[in-house]
Amino acid sequence: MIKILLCFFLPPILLLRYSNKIFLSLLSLTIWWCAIYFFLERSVSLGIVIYLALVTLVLYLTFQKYTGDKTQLKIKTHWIMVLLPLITLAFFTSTIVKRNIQGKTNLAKTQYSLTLGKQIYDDKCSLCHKLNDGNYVGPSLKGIFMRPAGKYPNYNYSKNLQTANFVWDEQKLVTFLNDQNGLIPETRMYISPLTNEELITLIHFLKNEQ
Amino acid sequence: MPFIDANDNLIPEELKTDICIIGAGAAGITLARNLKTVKDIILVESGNFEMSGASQSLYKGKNLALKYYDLLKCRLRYMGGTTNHWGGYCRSNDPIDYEGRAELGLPKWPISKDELTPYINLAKTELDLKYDFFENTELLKDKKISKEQLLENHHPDFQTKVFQITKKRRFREIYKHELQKQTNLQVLLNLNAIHIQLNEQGDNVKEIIFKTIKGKKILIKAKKFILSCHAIENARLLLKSNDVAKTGIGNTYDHLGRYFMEHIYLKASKLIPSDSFPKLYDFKELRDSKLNANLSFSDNYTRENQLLQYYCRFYPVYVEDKEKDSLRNIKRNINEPYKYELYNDIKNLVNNFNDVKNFLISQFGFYNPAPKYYQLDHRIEQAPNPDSRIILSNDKDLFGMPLADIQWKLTDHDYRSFKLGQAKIVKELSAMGAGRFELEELTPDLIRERIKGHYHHIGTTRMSNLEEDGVVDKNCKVHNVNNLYVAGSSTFPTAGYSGPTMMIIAMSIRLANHLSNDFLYGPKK
Ligand SMILES: Cc1cc2nc3c(=O)[nH]c(=O)nc-3n(C[C@H](O)[C@H](O)[C@H](O)COP(=O)(O)OP(=O)(O)OC[C@H]3O[C@@H](n4cnc5c(N)ncnc54)[C@H](O)[C@@H]3O)c2cc1C
Repeated sequence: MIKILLCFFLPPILLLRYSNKIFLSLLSLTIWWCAIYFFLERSVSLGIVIYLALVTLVLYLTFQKYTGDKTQLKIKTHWIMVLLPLITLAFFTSTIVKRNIQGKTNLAKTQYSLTLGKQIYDDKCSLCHKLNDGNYVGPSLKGIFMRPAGKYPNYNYSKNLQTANFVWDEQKLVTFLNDQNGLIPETRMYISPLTNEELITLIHFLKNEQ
Repeated sequence: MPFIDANDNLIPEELKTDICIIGAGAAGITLARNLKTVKDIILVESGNFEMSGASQSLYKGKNLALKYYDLLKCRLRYMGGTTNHWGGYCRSNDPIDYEGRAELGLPKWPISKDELTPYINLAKTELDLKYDFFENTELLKDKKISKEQLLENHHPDFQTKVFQITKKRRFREIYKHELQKQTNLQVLLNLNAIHIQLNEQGDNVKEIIFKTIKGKKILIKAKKFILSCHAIENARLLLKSNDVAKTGIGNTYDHLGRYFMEHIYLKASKLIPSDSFPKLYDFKELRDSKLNANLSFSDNYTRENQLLQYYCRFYPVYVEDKEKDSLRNIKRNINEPYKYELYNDIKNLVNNFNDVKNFLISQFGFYNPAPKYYQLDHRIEQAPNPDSRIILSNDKDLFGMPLADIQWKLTDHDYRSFKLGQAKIVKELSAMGAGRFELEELTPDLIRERIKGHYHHIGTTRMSNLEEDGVVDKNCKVHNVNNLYVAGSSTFPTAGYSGPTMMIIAMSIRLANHLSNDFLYGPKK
């Protein structure tokens, strides 16, 4: 039973205990990697689904092996057992380092106040734009970063935004908020000018809300 | 008749009509729909069917005194006007609102409550509002709420005032087809009034000059003109048209642009409720039924204590902002489980498990659990103040027309009403055992720092019997100008209790009736 519980924590290694078939090791390793990758980078729910798939596989294999003579089972060292933790460690470190570098270049080191950002959002944006699904006078801001411009469903965009061919990112938003008509002539939106500091604080807040 | 873009070549540069209405918002659309017996009407609208940045930019303006909202944000300049924004909170004014109370600087309305009531009823029907505003019996029965909950049954100084929230909010969509079918009406879009030209004597509007953003100029000559461009813009146009009347049209006695009023509110103090606090007053309790019950005072108490209209809302607070932040952070950081903050946030939620549970229950709408406390939200009508006003700026819009800035200021009556209102609520609710208060003193500094408006712009072209006291007469006609009328909340002499829009609609139906009769039978002497 303890071995089964251990499966949850060390599946690929445990797997090797019961089968040294390289095919199974690689399969387990791939799934385990995918689970970690999705958990950290994409979506926790997808990570969990993959993890469960993995656990099911391990349980299946474990029960298959238990039907045999337990005393015959020995830990067999395999090159993969050494390589596996190393690769996993390298993978972890690289994603974390990558993320930190990205974080730093995107928004300079200054800590922008989220409270102030919310105030600016409330003051300048909230009457026309929601942060969750659905449109008011203007389109929703949900998922605005990396969203193709002029394509949010059920909003009647101005002609030039409808045909715009770019994706909203920080730079594009700064340009637009500084001069709406400059970026998209004859656009529907018009706001009072924001200072540079206000702009960055607002964008930081919006990013945080995504 | 279809809506026409004023830039269209079919539209000549000079037009003649019986009635020209300027501005197609709550007031303008109601007027047009109710002027069915007039042969020929032109309704002019600055914007188009969708918002446009260029048209909206004409609403730029600065805050010169107390911090008010960005003037670009609190009104909309396209078909339907600010009804594209409004929340639909409706209630009739109370009898006391028409009385005039000199000690508070509140002028008497030139129209009595009885005279307005039939129009208020028409507006109420138009907005599909079901319940009586002064008699809550039917409402309570429908919602299966016991009369016992009403605090007026426990103390005669209290009165429960209920707002009904209409679903008929976006006039642009609701009335589009009706306006299109109206054969006596032409709606010109993308056209801006930029100057009201009086004749040499200054007692008649000769024509109004309009321009499109693309540069086309159109003159409209009409038997009668009605300005319905919303309070700030109505005053701006009249102040700006100062070539014949040197201080602006209707401004011989310097009332134009003054008495800008809001329904002001601020959040301060907490009530930790006991079981006997009636749930009816919980802001969330009736919200799904499109209703909102507030605790206010009887007209008698308000009158005797020289208070402005005051009411209190009770906002349930289940968790503090910190816990809300933690919830949000967890949602956001869940994909980055190695972040240390995630564990702090989870710890914070676990430590406040009960509050968080109640918050989530209330959020998902299962039922309304007892809150941790109620945040008191104090609301008053603002007293008229000549220094609270619209001022023409040196900055100009696209047409070279001066922008309107706002100088929003309070008076001692406002500070006093907030203070006494809170004191009364605290005294009586404590005596009833409705809970324990954690009080903040409502000092003028605190009030100035926290107040907000409801986006209700009132005053600026006030109605009065005598020219010496205001800008328009009881029929909304500018004093001493024979053919110029103003519609909307700019004409209200006092802010009163209610949200302005249902009252704007009522007053616009009344004005439409008045003008229809004028056209049918000639002006009444
Ligand atoms: C967020 C928000 C919430 C609100 N909630 C409520 C509420 O719950 N209850 C309530 O009672 N009220 C509410 N209001 C207020 C309500 O929207 C206004 O009272 C109402 O719309 C005013 O009607 P109006 O016709 O006077 O002006 P508007 O509806 O603003 O219409 C004015 C029209 O005139 C046009 N116009 C302006 N200038 C010119 C010009 N020079 N030439 C040609 N056309 C021009 C504009 O484009 C516009 O279409 C709210 C307002 C906001 C912003």
